[in-house]
Amino acid sequence: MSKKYFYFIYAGLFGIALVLFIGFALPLFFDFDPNQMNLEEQLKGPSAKHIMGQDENGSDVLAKVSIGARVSLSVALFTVIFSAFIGLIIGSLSGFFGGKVDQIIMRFIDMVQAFPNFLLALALVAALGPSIKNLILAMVLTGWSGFARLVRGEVLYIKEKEFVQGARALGAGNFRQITKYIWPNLYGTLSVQATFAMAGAIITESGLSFLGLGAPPTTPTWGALLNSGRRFLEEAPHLSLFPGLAIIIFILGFNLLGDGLRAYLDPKSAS
Amino acid sequence: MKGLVNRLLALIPVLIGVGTMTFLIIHLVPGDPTDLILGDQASVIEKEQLKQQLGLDKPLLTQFSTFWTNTLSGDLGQSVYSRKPVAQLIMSRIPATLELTLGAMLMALLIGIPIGVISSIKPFGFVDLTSSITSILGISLPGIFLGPVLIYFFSIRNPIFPVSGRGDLSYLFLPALSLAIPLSAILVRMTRASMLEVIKEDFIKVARSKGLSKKTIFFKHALRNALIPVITIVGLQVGTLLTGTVITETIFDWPGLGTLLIDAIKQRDYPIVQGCILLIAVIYVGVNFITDILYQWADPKMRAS
Repeated sequence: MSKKYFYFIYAGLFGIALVLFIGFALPLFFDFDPNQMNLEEQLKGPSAKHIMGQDENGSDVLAKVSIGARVSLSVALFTVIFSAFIGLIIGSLSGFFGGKVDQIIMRFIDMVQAFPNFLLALALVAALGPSIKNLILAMVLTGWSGFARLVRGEVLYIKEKEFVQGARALGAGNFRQITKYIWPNLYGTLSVQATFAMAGAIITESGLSFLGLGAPPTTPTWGALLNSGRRFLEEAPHLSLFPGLAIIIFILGFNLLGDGLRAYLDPKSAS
Repeated sequence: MKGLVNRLLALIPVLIGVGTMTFLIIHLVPGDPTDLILGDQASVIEKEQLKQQLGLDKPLLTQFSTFWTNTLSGDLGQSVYSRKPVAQLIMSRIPATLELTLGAMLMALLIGIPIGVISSIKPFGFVDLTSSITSILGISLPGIFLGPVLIYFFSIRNPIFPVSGRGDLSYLFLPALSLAIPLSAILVRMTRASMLEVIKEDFIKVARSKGLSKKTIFFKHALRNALIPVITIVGLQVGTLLTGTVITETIFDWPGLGTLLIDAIKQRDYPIVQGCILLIAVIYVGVNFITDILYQWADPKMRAS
């Protein structure tokens, strides 16, 4: 078992790097336009010029998967950063001050979590209308509660530790106790949670885009590509294969990284 | 018994919260919903008629109280287009979703628990490593890709199962499997972790020192205890399954709640959307509640306290 988690971390980083490469580096080498139609080469399989093949309009699939990578990454990144930040603030208030504040916040979290996450995000996007901004908003409105619950639990535990009580005895105010003494002990747990949340956000984003409720229909997200690829599953499976593989590699990357980080930060839990 | 009543009472505020949130999501939409439903071409009179029909001409608070009195008496409103009662539309779709969810759950249990148990016999052995790696992969497989892959291999290349629709059991197999694979991957991991945890306990040492056979210890003593936390996971995953059906039903054209919801969203048939969301959320709360109770009942330590 010794240091097995490093393989997880490396494998995870490799998967994430691969998708980043497709999203950001490949456009520099290949001069491709995702909207360039070529009606003589409809649904053509992979070739030297179009390594992921061409779609029903003869457009390059790689170009679309590349844009999809950027959309997925940025939606997931913004979602997780905002969710983690809101969760950190609300969870800290709840755990640190306890009492009425804690009760009200926890009841509210219970209410948000009484909805399955995907359903709540789906309902919000359906009400707000499909756009990348609304997609992120909907996912943050559902995603913060998990972080808040986690942070609250940790804060409850850490605030009773001697070093925090010592700081309090020496006259550190609430704000200073939270930011200088409690938060530095949370970043490990928070980063593991954030890594898994990235995987979750990508699944939700691609699912909503698949249903036509994510990014605007003109954006070639992975979910949208898989949805339009379904119509040509028989004659052109490559339309589904490549965006699908990209999603799996990306999600797998974050899941592996999360598993590895958790084992690294808390060796006891991995045994 | 007293604990049970208290827990049932604690459900009330959660359900009120769920109802209120569903109402707010649908009713606090920016802009005029009748614009969205009827399009820009509609006349003012048409819009006013629709507003009256949906009750949108009344103040928000009145709408809110009507929403509650109607919902509690089982009236979920009417579809904007077909004018059919939403409750009736939903009821007609429930059997299909129930069939899919139960089928997927059964498959996941049949795949996940045995593999989890076998993996725990020799931790970090060949079988365990293989199943660990496969299950990380399984967790990372999104339904939107798994569905098309299964259709491609088992309906198009090898026409064993029908591509889509609902009928006899052969129609159920692929959609249920596509929901079951990620779930069984989670179950493998949980069962394995739980078994390894239980095997370290004192009562297993006692059983071993009594000279009981390995088989008896493993299946009678360890497995039974190890499955207790697995109950919780299964319960919590029902929510994931229910929302997963929205995507799976769309892919396989399965006439359940998920396709009803998505079609209603696309047509902006808000009463149906509201009804579906409310129902799925209530089922989710209910299943979580039952899971909690089952967990306590299954664990004698919890029962005593």
